[in-house]
Amino acid sequence: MTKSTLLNVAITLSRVCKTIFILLIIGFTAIFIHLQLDRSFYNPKKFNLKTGDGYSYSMKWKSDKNAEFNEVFTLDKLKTVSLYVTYLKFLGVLILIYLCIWEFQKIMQSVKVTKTFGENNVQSFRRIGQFLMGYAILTSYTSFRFENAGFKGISIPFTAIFLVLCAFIMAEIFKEGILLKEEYDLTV
Amino acid sequence: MMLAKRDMKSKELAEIIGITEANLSILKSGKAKAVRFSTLEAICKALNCQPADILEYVED
Repeated sequence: MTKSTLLNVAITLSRVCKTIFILLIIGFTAIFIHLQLDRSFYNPKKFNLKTGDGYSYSMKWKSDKNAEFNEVFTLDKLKTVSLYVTYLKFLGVLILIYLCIWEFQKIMQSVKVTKTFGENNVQSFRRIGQFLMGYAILTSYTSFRFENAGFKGISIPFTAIFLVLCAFIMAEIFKEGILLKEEYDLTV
Repeated sequence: MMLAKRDMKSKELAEIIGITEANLSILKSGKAKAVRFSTLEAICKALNCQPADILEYVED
């Protein structure tokens, strides 16, 4: 596969992913609005409450000792505050991933036009690192409050933290690359 | 200065030593960070001079 084909594939994939994320945001918002209008529709929709990857700690409780957890952890019984917090959290996660893909696409486009070592790409990698840091923070804590039950969980998202480090390291590598390019350009 | 002595234009020299006029301009203005030995050799050959004739140390 040539460099140009690879870049074209990466750019196309980024565009497809961006579209999927926009659709996900719209879909998620539609469910959020519909859930407030008709809660009974979501009666059988049960939560699979788990924390993220990496090291995690979680705690769940219910007021009715005889009830099963999957009976109390249903979407229609989710408290309004918890619903809003969950919606905003997932919306934030989706937007952050969308922004990461956008920055990645910008980098690929600059490589395609052979402007690889530019200040823009350093900024893009830094922004990706910041967005991923936001993603790591948002996904590290999970909290749901139901009418007669609750769930709390905290985890260390190792994958996201590793990606944050990778993004910042890439920014430093590209910064070094700019200096080398400048030196090369000014060598006659 | 050496160019003027030899009555040679920048364009002509750039063609002889095989670099672009833009690069020659970088050299003349002192913006260059490094000069290849091959370039220096070509300039000296074209102007029939020694490196010391075209290089000068100026304190920043």
